[in-house]
Amino acid sequence: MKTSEAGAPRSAAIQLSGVNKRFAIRRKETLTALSNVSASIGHGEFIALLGPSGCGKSTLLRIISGLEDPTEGSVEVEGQPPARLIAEHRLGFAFQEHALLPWATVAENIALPFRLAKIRVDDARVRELVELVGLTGFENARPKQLSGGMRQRVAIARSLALRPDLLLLDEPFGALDEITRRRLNFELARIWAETGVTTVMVTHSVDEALLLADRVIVMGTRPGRILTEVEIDLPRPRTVESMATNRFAELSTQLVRLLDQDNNAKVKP
Amino acid sequence: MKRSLRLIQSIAGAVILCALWEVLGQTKVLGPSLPALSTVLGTLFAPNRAKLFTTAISATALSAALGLLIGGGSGALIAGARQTISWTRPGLDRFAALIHAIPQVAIAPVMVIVFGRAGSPIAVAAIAAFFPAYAASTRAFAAAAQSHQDLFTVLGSSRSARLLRLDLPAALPGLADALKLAAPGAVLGAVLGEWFGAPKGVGILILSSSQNYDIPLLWAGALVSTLMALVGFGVFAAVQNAATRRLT
Amino acid sequence: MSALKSFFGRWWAVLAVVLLWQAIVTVFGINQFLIPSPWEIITGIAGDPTQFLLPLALTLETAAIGFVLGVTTGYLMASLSWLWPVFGAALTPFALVVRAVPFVALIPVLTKAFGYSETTSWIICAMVCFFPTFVLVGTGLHDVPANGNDLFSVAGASRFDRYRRLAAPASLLALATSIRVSSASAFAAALISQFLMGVPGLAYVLANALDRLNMTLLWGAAACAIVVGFLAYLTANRFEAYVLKRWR
Repeated sequence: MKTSEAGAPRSAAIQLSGVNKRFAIRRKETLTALSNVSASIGHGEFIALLGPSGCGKSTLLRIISGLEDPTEGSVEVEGQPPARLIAEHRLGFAFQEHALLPWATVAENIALPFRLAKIRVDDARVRELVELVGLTGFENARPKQLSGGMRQRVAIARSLALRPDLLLLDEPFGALDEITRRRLNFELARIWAETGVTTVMVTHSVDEALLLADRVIVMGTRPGRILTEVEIDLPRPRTVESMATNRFAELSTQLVRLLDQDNNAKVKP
Repeated sequence: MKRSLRLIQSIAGAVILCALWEVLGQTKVLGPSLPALSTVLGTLFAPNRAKLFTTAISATALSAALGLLIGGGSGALIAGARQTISWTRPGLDRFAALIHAIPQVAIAPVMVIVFGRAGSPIAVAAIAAFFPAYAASTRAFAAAAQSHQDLFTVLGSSRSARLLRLDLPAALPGLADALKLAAPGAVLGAVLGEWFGAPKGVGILILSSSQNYDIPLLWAGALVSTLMALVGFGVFAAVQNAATRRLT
Repeated sequence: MSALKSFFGRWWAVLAVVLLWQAIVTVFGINQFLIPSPWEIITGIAGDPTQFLLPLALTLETAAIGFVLGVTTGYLMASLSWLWPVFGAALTPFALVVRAVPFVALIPVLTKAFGYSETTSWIICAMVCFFPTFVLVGTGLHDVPANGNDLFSVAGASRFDRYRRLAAPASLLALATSIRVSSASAFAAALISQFLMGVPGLAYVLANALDRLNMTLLWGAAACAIVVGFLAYLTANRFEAYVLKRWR
């Protein structure tokens, strides 16, 4: 169980207030990537940031992680700036392009967070993670010997190595084929259920969001902003059968319509 | 499969080349200016010339190695500085281009004045090695992918851990590549640097045999300089292969 | 203001080296007869420009003629090899054979036919430019947009149509690159061949100045060669960048 300071009123895990992000393109020209984004994410929640490309969902994730600073507005993770979380090595991050070190083995890659945090590598924990993502027997393989799906599993295992307080996933399965992607969705759901870590995942797949998230934050483009939030009240564990339910279809239609409306509004003058 | 096919092809090419050379030389179509391969090899391995060649080769090899160390080393170092301090980049790139554009025959006599007759080959070899090493090192240091850099940031890595665990391993194959590209340049730079009065070396062998119209000796000298450049290239190509296999 | 900033951004390293050189020579009172300061070199050249400019013009003329000859032949041969692969199959081994021989050794072969003349220098420069052009354009001609060949097959285009509308435009980038590579090596080859044959030109001035210890002449000629080589490089680089921008 995740605990905030005992007795204190339960604060949000992540608090975004009036976040704006602008990039300078050329002299005197800026691109507004995010406009007035505010959101509150609770402890142990699984949030999906859903939107078309260019809606700033990856930028928002990078701001939450502290990789980028907002132009205006504030981000607080556990009541502190994200940089604090990084300094304390309490953040897990999985990238779209697995970002495994090609010269290191599976086990060494999973152990990397220990080394960077200057903590003695917990071999038992590494073994446990290898097993968790179903790669037992591949500890000494190098990334290039693995399939795309296996690499992504290693990346997820690595992001969980130090039992982070916050897990950020930037389209972790975006580069995979549909079949592998679906399989890893179910596996991530299982892993998440076991760890219960607060998770924010960027995706542009409606199905992925529905299979994994407690709540979907739907984002729109030009400028990137939050359109609405949708609670996903599908019972867990979600399986292939869940996808055949009426509720799944309803939610799916609702999300598709929301994304579509935003798009049509832009096309019309 | 494909690799071995290519190997067979290049070996066949080399054999055909040698055979053609031998035939052209033996039949004397081009007169005495193209001696047969056997004549050149005879010159190269003549017992009474063994000392001449070993002295020349070791002198040139030493100059080239020192030049590679100085020129290639400073090329890699400056590329490292370029990587760390971003505002220096355009200026250093232009400076490296200037060094690259220096005609070696023009700088060699000046190097004789500055560093003496024995120092000139080393200096010219260093100048010749600088640019390829700089250019390849620049690519090498940029090799660590942005996602890796982000990963190290979100994991709260220190600067030294980032250099040790990411930048250096990522750059290693590229740095070997830099030396591979710089090595033939260093050999030819050393040869050219010797032309302006170095006491000994392959360059001197080529120059004096050219002036004395000792054609077999000239071809032997040219063959030796080419082989030295190839060996330098091959050694670092092997290092690069090993590094790439291990690190990617 | 920002133009000034970008100027210094690009040139700071070159300027710093020149100023440092000037400062060291002035402050430490280095023997100015042997190692003059940049300012003295400039005044030396300005004092009697013709003794530098005439030989420089000779060398440049040789390099330019050889360059045009080599790049044109290289492009034509690559195109012919593309149009008639049989021709290419016959030419490629021959090209590889000649390429494998260091051109230093070919000077006696060529002088046999053409004498110690400018013609020999032209041919040397042309050969140096021929190979990169032949190889790069040869690759470039096959670097057609994806499905381009299928498109032309479906349209029933003739082989020459396909060359004119598909392969030749696709090879322009490679041509620009070979022009950049060749321009620098043409100048270097002109200097080297003129030096080895002892024919008039900038290299002759350099060798002569070193023999007579005429330092004004030596440093001035070296400076001229470096500046011209650098300008040629910058121009060719800009040209390649322009083509790249227009074409991609």
